Amino acid sequence: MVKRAMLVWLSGALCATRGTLSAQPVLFAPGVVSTPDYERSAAFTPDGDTVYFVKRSAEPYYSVICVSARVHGRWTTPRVAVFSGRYNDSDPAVSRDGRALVFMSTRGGAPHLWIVHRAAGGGWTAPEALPSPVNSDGAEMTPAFGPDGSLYFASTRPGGAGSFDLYVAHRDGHGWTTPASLGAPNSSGFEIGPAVSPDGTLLVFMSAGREDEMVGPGTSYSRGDLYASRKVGDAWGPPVHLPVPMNSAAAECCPSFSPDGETMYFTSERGFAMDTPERPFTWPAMETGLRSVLNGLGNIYAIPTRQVREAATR
Amino acid sequence: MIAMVLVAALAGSPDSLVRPEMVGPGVISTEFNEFGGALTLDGDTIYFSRSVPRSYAYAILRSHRTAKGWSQPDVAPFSGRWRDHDPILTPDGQRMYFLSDRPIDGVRPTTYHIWVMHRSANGWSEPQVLGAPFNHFEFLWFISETRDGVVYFNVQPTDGPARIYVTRRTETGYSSPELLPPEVNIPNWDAREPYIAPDDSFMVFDAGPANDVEAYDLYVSDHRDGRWTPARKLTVLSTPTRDYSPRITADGRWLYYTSEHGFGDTPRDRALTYPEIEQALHSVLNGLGNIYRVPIAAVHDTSG
Repeated sequence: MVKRAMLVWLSGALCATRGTLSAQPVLFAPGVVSTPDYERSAAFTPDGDTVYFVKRSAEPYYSVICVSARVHGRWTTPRVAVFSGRYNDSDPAVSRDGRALVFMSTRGGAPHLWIVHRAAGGGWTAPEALPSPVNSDGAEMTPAFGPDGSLYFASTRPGGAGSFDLYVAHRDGHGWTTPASLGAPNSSGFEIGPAVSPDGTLLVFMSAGREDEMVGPGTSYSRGDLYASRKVGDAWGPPVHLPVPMNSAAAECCPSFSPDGETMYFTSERGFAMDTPERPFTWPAMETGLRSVLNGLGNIYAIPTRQVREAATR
Repeated sequence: MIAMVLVAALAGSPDSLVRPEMVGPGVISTEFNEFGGALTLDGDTIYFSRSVPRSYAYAILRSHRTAKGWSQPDVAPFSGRWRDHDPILTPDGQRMYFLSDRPIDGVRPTTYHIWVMHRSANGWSEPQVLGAPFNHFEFLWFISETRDGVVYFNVQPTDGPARIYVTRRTETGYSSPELLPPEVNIPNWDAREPYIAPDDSFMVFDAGPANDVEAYDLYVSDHRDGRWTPARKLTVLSTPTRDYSPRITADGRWLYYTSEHGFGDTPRDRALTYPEIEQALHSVLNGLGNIYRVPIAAVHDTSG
């Protein structure tokens, strides 16, 4: 697994930045998982050979959790996860032991977190909403598991610093502790999509509306960038805005880590139309772009965690 | 198969007077994102916007009516580099307004401004940016004009919901803008994209809870004796998705508008399979905007 990951990095474009060898993010499973449709939010089973991810319409009218398996080193044509496809579901997160999967769904009305468990003989149990105090009267989304089984997620519950803030709930017997704010990573803006490295030392998340967010030329659209915080004692330190090529003027979101922690996956809308063209688009040129994988709809990328960690330490 | 069922659902009950009709299916209304169809006075050319979803890029395209239907659209000669969108033709056909973030005096703005072109024997003039009083506002969305030069336009303040203003075009410029009353500018809601009837007798616009763009619906307010009637939702054509970008044809017969109605907003009694989802995402009804038209009677139909 590690050897294969290394080959992927070496075959990607390499460029020297600030004296360190900096790899470009690599499109994950192009043409199979990352396609001209909108994909986001990769979540791997502990063996790394099954990935759950989201496919959705460009505007979020329909969203479904899909699954692909790696067979003989190749990702196979996805199918719809057995618990998804009818209602709008998103943001899968697999527990460290692979026995549980938490996701966001509007199947009960407002966006909340739901859980399925591994069923005897394979498959998953029927989805159940996570109980209070994990779900609140507000909205919950983008769950992620910490190394100790604690649950990180974004919520609009009262008492936060902004619209969506990041929280963590710890296991408490068969239930959960009252979710606590992650503190320094939260701002008066918008934080979602937490991911904690398997060693528990690095938090990466998406925030929108901060001063240092990357925006493109012309009309300014806030679409969200990735930020990283390091664990300082028992708390998360002040967030660092991750540089290019992890961020771009397009939207980035939904980080996650491979089970071995070597790779960070994230979603980006980077595409063919981020910069003003030198010459006006003709329709055929625009159509070619709109039909390509880099058409501005989300794709999933992989980058070495080492590179993220180095950026977060600067 | 899914697509056909949904078209039937959108058209309403069989005895409905109002049947939204998709404009140029597969040619103008495609699997890409279209909105804002503006017809020339003779009805033979349509200008509309097509975008890279999520506002990465916009272009104004045009298509001509032929014996075989609408021609394959091309990017209009004045567009294709900057974010140009929302073409609007005045009822006399002499002016075309559009929104753009193209450079002003060589400087790229960070918000949209209103641009205008004048019709001449040689086609459209070079676009010029509208100055005062419009440049008093930081972020402009939309403009339309009556036959007598009454101008309605749309502003997005940084600290509140989108608002609709009125001004009058005069010999020397424009009168001081006035905010329309709460019958149109519904408290705490965005009021956007005012399209005024050529005779100033009613306005179609889109509105919804502030910042909840996907929930926008089309509304009408009648303009009688200098007053605006409380905004009424056009329930006969509204969908659970965004319905917006109205245009009233110069002859007053048709309402053109845009809807993001598609496979995703129809309740399902079972899970879709992966092949079904792929097929739906690549169809015209994939949730990206398409252009529709209804007879103007739909606007005045209060039975809905």
